[in-house]
Amino acid sequence: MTTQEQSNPTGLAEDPAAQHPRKALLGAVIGWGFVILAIVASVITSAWNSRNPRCNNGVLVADMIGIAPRVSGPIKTLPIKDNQLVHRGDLLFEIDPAPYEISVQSAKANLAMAEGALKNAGLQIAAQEDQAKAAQASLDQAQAKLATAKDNYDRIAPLLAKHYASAQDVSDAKNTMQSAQAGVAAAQAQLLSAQSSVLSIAEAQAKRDAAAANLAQAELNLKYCTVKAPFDALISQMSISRGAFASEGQQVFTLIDIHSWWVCEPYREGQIQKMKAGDPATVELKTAAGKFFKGTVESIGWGATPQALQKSILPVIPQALDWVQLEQRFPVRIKLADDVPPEILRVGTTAAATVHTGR
Amino acid sequence: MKRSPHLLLPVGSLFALPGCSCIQEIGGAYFPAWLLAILIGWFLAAIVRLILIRVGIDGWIRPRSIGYPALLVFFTLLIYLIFFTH
Repeated sequence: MTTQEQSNPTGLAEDPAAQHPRKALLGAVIGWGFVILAIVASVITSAWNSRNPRCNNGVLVADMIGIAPRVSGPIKTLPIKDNQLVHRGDLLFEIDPAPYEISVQSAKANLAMAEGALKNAGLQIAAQEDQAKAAQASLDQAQAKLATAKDNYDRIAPLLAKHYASAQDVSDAKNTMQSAQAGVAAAQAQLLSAQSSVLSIAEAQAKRDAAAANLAQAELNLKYCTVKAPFDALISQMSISRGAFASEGQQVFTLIDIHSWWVCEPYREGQIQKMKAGDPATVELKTAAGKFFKGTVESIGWGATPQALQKSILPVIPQALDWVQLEQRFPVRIKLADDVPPEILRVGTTAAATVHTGR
Repeated sequence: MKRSPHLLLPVGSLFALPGCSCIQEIGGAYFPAWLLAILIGWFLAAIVRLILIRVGIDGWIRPRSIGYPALLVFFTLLIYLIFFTH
């Protein structure tokens, strides 16, 4: 065989193809066959890739929240451990409730005091209203007296000319009438004074309402001492232990929602053209390499910060612009199906996805 | 030109068996599957060339400059389609 190879050097005076026409034909068929196979395989691969855009640079993500107490205090009970699974409603931790219980009792006492004050104010106001009524009655009485005195004077005064009545009688009647007039004025003044001194109950009512609101707040604070899991979750990054002082609003650990797993894949702009929400996808998680899970395209990101939008007081224009430019990438959110075994789900896992666009 | 991929798609989906991971872990780093496919394709193309040398056809392969590169491309894509599409 090697001798044959050596006996067929190209570019010699005699034409080797003419000597071995069958071998020459076979060689051409095989050679061009390779080229045709390569072209066919390229077309199929390119069609496949265009129908099934793939991205290998994704990460597995879940909804996460930082848990922070809403009241401050030392942690009294902490039944959970880092990386543990908790269910909705499970106790996460309890802050020493003693000061908050005292606050509730104090607020209750304040409310009772305010209610007592409201009652007293009611009684006081009732008494003042009675006084106003008495003043009204005095006024009525004085007015009646004045009417009688006036009638008496009107009857006696004409009798003076005919000397049926003495000047003394007329003068007395006049004085009586004037005195009655003064009595009416005094009674009117007394009535006004009594009416204006009736207190309003609004202040006592407002104080009672404020005390009730304070009690509600104190009870709420007491309730906040017990922190429960808002959903089925995994505990992560626990930075507190029993007895430690937990400050209001300061995060003590993270909860990962175990029902919200999705994959964030940075697809190239050319790839997302054919994609749409609802397209099925195959997802591979590197925590279980070689296994494939079903997913669905949930949404495609509407933006990714380009370099030119970096924060600065002037536009950022790099001097060196790339001659070969890389495609922009946009995050595609792929929701994982529920049948993925929970033990392989970790936030940040490398994920590769293939979206089946069907087009 | 636009229609040809559609006609070939059923052929392509024949290869779409549940495959291997499209990123391969080697020594703590992930390599794209096509890199592995090129390595295997190169190996297969080399074997084919050895066979052709043995049967005495190698010297007659025309066009010689692109025949074997085309074979490498073919094997690479074949490996990729069979094992790395899913």
